[in-house]
Formats: sequence, structure tokens, C-alpha cells
Amino acid sequence: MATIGIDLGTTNSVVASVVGGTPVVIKSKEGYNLTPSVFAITSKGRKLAGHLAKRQAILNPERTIWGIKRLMGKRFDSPECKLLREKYPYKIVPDENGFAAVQIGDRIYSPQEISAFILVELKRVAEEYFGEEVKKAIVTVPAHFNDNQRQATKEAAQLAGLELLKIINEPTASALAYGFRWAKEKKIVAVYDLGGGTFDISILQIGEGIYEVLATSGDTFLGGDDFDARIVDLLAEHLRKETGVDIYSDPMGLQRLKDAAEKAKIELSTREETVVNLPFISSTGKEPVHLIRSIKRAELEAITYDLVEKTIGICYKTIQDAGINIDDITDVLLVGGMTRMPLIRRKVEQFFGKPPVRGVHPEEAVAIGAAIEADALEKRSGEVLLIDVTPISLGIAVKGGVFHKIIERNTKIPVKKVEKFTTSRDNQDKVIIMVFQGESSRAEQNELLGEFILSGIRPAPAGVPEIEVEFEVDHNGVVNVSARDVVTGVAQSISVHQHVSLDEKRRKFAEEELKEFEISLKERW
Amino acid sequence: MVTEKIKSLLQEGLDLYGYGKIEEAIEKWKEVLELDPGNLLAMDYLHSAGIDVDKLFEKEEKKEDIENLLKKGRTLEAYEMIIREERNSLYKMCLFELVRYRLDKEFRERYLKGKVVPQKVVSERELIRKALTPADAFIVSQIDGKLTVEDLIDITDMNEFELCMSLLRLEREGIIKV
Repeated sequence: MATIGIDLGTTNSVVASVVGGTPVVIKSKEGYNLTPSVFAITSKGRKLAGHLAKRQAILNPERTIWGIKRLMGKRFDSPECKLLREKYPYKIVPDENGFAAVQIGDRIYSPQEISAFILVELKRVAEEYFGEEVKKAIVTVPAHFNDNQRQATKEAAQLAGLELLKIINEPTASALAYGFRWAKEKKIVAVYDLGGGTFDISILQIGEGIYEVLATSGDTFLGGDDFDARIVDLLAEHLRKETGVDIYSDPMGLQRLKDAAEKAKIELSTREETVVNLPFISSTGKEPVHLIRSIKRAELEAITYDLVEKTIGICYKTIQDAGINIDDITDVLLVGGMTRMPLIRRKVEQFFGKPPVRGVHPEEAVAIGAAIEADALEKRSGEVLLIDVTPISLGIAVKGGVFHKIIERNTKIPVKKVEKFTTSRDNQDKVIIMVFQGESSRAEQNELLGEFILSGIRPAPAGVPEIEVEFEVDHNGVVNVSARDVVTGVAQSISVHQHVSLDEKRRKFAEEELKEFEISLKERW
Repeated sequence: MVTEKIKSLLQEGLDLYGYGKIEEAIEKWKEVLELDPGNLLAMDYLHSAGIDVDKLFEKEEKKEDIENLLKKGRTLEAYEMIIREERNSLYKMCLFELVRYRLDKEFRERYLKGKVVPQKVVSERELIRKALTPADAFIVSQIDGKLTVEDLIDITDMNEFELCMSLLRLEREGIIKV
């Protein structure tokens, strides 16, 4: 049975596999390499995912879910979620555990359920290609994803009926695709990933199967869609000046304009000039309105220059965070369709002082890398490509709100570590153990994964009781934390991502709904 | 004899009108005008019932056109004609339903049976010379030789009838083929 690698992107997703020894992206029957990460329910109750869902997004804004990756594993009251509630036209609500969810009609969907619909669509693409069921997969996530976000992604894969071999980081997968595997000498690789909706820059140290993320940063609201929006604004302004028509108040016209803007942007990566031709795009009420306008590459570069500069600024800061000099970087990899834009390639080469590595289609790199690792795992060839590490440091809050790391990031897993703590007040009979994930020295600036209370501590002066806190991360990256009073033996524990997962009832309902969706796709195609 | 018939029809109309059966009363008085086109009483009664007698005769001619169009299988034209009219008689309401039923049947056969994929047959440049509404142009912009009619219904958020109407118009204009 075939294995697949899936790049589950914010804007677009890709599925790949190793076929006849060569990793390839699997095209859908309709001929597409990319599948939009969009899910919708039409006014008639029909569920759509991928291209069809994207095409009706502007006409059906409140029932079309896009960019769901930004909400994966996020709490409703987080600052990021607050920002998204202002930006997204669809309804974002809290679930019963306080995590962000979306509402379509009366139904509330968790982000992992929405992602599962997109994964079912990708699964369909793979099954049509292979002519048989496909189950085993690797799914990728951004390097900065915390435990809740990773757990939500795992759950999405399980809901979609996939047997998840592993979750791997996107820059790591890209490096695999570009051929960076076991290396005798350590290499420092910069992965510049500009996709449809987000920008990520990661600095990796690669050597002997370990892909250490030295630093990672980005902008979750900077991507190809913003470049499209600049072209839409340009064309809309042209239309307004020529005819007085406000295309923003015309959903059908705006949808056509958006599609044309994306097409023009792509064409200008290989041509110096393109023509946008949209007959009958609107009407003044008395006569039809046509839009015909040429756009030169130089004009596109002028109206998007600031966006590219912003990515370079983030690269500069990330290199500083990694504690290295720019000359230490041995290779630069480009990932994401937007990196085909000549301006971006020029600026990246200029900044890093070396041309990016070629040889892989940038929009395919992540999925290809995931497929390579999936194939190696399944064949158990003995060729270990990746050694798993914890991506982000784990620890607890101690006195004064300080974050005390117990497991440092990039520690090989599985791992178990025990540290001893004590009480801060006389006769303190309980302690609250708050588990955080992050790199800040202040606990409240990191992500709270969970908390529990250890009661029944032997009364004693402050500093006398011995409380052992054990952190365990298993081979799947599942984090378990326990605490024990050494003298009395009283203990308590927590599996920290319990609350982001769906409960039994919701899970069953979601699985049934996804099964029906899968059947409807098979009947349709 | 005709005079007796006319008297009887006039009275029957009055009786029906008195019972609130306006439509039936109108039909009786119209029958009078068919027998005796200038009958003042019938015209007066019809006027009281809110009927413009002059327009009545105009529309009577168009009614035949619609029926002829239906007989010739030009259902779309018949529909385009009848939707512009007031459906202020039982006959017209029935005719409208008949035209719509025939059109609906034609749509199901032509567009909604199996996986029908429309294809564009003109370029963007040629499109400007046609007569389209923005909604029609939007549908044309979505036709890529891969989407089925069902898919188009989903992504345009139009109901089946509206979309099929557009498709039939676009076929008639030579912009698409199925």
C-alpha cells in the first residue's frame, strides 16, 4: 500500500508519494498539483473542499472556511484568535474547553474537523491516482507549532481516516526534498518559505539525521494572498476611475477580479507584461462595463516591494535569534509558490549573499520531503532520515512567574526527565503545577499546555518538602507530566493536550460526517 | 339566439361577480365580447372588474404567440415573453406554469442528466461583441472544461433553474456548447 506525504498549508495543500523510487506530487484528476485549503457548506447544504470551495468563497463568505491552520490548537481568548475574529468573515466561537472553533449555521466545527475535510479531499486525490485505498501518511507542520497545535493536526489526520506515521516540521521536510540528509559535516541551512498565506524563515543545523531548529520566525499574515490583494486594489481603482463602478460591492465581479489578479501575478513570474481582460465584469445600470488593462512586472514589483522588504527584515532578526552570522549559512532553500517571483529571488540572494539552491519546485518541496520520509519509515530500510526532537522547550512556572525549562528544545525523543522542587511557604499542603511550552524566561509569555494540583503534601517549613516533577515525551511527541511528594508518595499527573482533543461523542459524530463526505466525493468523481 | 346567449352570459357574469368569483365573471364577459366585440355592457362590467379592455385584445394576440412558440419548441423564448406579462388571469397563470414546466423538463434532460461539462467556444476578446449580463459573464468565467453543471450550481450559489436559463442563453449566443 502506498504511503503519502502531505503539506497541509494555510492556503494550499499538496500530496506527494514515492513512485518507482522517485518522489512525485500527485495531481488530481482535474490536473491540479495544489489543493486549496478551503472548506465550505453551500446554502443548499452541500459540503465542498478544495478548488470548488475556493471558487465560491466570495459569494458565500460566512459559510466558507479558509486559513483554518491559523486557528489550529489556539485558545479562543488568545491574542492571535482575537485578531482573526476581526479579519475573518466567518464566525469564530469558543468550544466547551475554551479552544477556538468555527460556526457554520448551527453546527460548530473544531479546526481539526475542518482540516480533516481537506485531508479527505487530498486522500481522494491519492486514492484515485493509485486506484486503491491510501492510509499511511506523514503530515507536516510549521516548526513553531506547539504541542496543542501538533496534537490538533494529528487528530485531523486521524479523523480523516489516515494512519499517521509521524508529524514533521516543514523546513525539515523541505531540506529532505532538497537532498540534505545525513551529512558528515554539520550544515546550517536557511529555509525561506513564502506561501499563500504565511511567511516562515527557519535556520536549521543539519547533521547525522538530526535537524535542529536554531531559530524560526515569520508572519502568519503575509503571503501570496497579500500580493494578489495589491493587484486587486490596482485594478479596482482603475475600474473606479474609468467607469465609476465600485467592484468591492459586487461579489461576482470581485471574485472574477481576484481570480484574474492571482493569474496575472503568476504570469508575471515568467513574463514582463500581461493583460487582464474581463468583459462584462459589471454594469453601470445603463451599459455593461469591461476591464482591459495591462500590468508590467515592474509595476507589480513597485506595488509589492514593501511586502518583500518585510520578509527580509524578519530574516535578519531570525539570524540574530539563532546566534549565528549570516556567513555561517551554507545553503538557502526557497519554499512556497511565491518564491518563484523574480523580485523575491533577487532580494533573497542579495540578503544571504548566495543564490538559493535549485532543483525542487518550491511549492512542492514540503510534500516531497514528507513523502521521502514516509517511504523510508514504511520500508524500514534502516536508513533513518530524521531523528525526532522536541521542537519547543517544556517546563513549569516557579516562584516569581519564572519559566523553568525541564526539557530543552531539540532534545531527542522519547525522553524522560525528573527534577526536584520544593514549597515556598511554611506548611504549604498543595502546589499548582502549571505546564508551559516556549522559550521566554517569563512563564506567562509562553503557551500554557495544562495545569494540575498536587495535594496532601506533608506539612513542613518552606523549602523542606521534596516534590519530584517528571516530564515524559513519548515517540509521538505526547507530553505527560507527573508530580510526587517523595516522602508521602502522593502523586498526580496530566496528559497535557487532553483538552484540545474532541471528546468521545463529538469525535464519533465528526467521523460519521467525514465518512459521508468521503462517500459523496467518490460518487461525484 | 345570439342576443339571448349574450344576455345570459352578462347575467351569469353579474351573478358570479356578486358571489366574489371575479375571474370567472371576467371570463363570461370576455365571451360576450367574442360574440359581440363592441358590447358596451360587457366592456363596462370588465372595466368595473379592473380590466383594461384595450390591452385585453393586445394581449390576446401575444397569447397566441406564446402558444405558437411552445408548439415550435422555442420554450426559452416563450418563457422570456411570458415573464414580462402580468399573470392576472387563471389562464395566464396556467400558461406560465406550463411554460416553466416544459423549460424545467428541457433543463433536466439537457444539463442535469449525468455529468454534463460545458465548454467555452469563444475567446475573451470575442465575448465583448456579445450581449451578456454580469451574471452570465460570471458563469462564463467559471467554465473551464472541467466543472460540471452541478459544480457550477454549487459555486455560483444560483438555483438550478436560474443557472440552466443562463446556460441555455449562452448556448443560444454561441458562447458555450455542451
